Amino acid sequence: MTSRYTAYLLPLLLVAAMGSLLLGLFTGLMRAGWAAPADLPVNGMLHGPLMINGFLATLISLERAAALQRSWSYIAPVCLALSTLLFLTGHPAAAGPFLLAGSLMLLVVLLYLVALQPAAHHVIMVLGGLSLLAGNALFLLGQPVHELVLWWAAFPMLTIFGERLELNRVMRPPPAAVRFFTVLVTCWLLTMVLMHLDRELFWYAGSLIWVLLGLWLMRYDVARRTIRSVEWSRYMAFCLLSGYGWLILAGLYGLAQSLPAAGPSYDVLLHMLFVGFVFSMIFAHAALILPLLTGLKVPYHSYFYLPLVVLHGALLVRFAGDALGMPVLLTVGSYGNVAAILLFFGGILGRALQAGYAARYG
Amino acid sequence: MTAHTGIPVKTRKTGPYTEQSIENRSPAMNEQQTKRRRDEEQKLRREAVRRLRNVVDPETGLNIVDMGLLYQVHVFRNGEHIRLEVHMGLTTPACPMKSHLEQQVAEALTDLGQVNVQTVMNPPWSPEMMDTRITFPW
Repeated sequence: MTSRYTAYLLPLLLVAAMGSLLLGLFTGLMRAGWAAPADLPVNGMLHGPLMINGFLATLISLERAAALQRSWSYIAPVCLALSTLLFLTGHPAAAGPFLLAGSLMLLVVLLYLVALQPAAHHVIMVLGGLSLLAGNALFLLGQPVHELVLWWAAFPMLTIFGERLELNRVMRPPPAAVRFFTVLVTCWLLTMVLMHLDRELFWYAGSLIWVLLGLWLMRYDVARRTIRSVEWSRYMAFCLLSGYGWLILAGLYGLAQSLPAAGPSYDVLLHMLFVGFVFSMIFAHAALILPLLTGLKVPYHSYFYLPLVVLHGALLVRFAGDALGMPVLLTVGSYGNVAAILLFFGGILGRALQAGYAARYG
Repeated sequence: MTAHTGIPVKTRKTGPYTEQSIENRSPAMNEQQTKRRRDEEQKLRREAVRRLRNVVDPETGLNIVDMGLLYQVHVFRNGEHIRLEVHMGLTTPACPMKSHLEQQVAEALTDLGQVNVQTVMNPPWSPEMMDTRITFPW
């Protein structure tokens, strides 16, 4: 059960997650070449940890805790937020145990979900939690980011796969199709383990699996039906289907080249997953998750198509920059992605405050 | 008596909304008043369900009644005071749409009486609870 402590914790943790997002975007701009003042405590190297642990892991674990309404489930977001704070204030040694504890507690929460309802979709979410734990363990062991980044990427991706499989039960997909999806997810996880032995071969295998997973989602997702709906349902469908498009494109691009350790192709491939796929899902759900975290309602507005178009447009520019060998397009695309995310969350905040004001003062 | 989900309908508890106040009257009056009260409650319950057909899960585009998320609607009357208790399920215990749907349900019923929405996880929701008329072209 929730206590009054969790009622205070929830907004604090939400602020911590959103603060990490802002700092993550800021460090992303630094990576894109923006000359920030030299005396700042953050640098471009913190972009990945801030976006994965500070923002995504904190927010997803907070969302799970708020939905489950168990006080102990808040330990995960608290630890993750504390670890981010300690990293930012220059205490990496103290941050490490909190990062591991947060990842472990999130895994416990996801296992608790399996205990409540044993089902394939909940097991896939557990695999997502395991991926986060593996990625963070490798990070603390000092592995280079390009060696572990796919474990970090697997956390939000497996969470999304689990959620979509769960929700698409309303479409009653054929049992063989569901089995095929779970086999694909399992094989993808295996390729990530095996990539530590043969990076190139299993990168190709993993890329092929993304294409198949993307096609599966395109085929069986309820978004194919709700795209003919209205307001948020229609908007969500656009976000979901465009996100699956990016997953397929990332797989195809991955098949066309191996994953380099750095450089424009590495940057574009990762952002096809993190921005094209993961942020599309965030855009799809943020407005409807906000009531759970804040009690604020976000009424629909067609404005939200603007950040979505900017997000995809800018990512296409980035992709073109790498494919055509034009670094200026990579920079412009990066700035565009940051602008899209700010436009989106600015819109969410504006609409929520507007609705709150209207409800209070008529 | 069972609801469409197969869950036994709960009998009303004693408290401010019991029918004890009419038990000491003559049996004929008792029966007539109880029947009228039940009819009114049934009417309210039907009206509540009709309105809840307008509460749509934005993820699926389906209303919560056809989707099988509405488990029970209890109506309690005490004179002019009406209280509605809605029991609804979720597709998963960690459903992030929980508060959104609860808000929508409360808003849909607010002028019928005091509304109390409870999300319950037992029995867990399954696609078999959906209206059988909803089909997808596979």
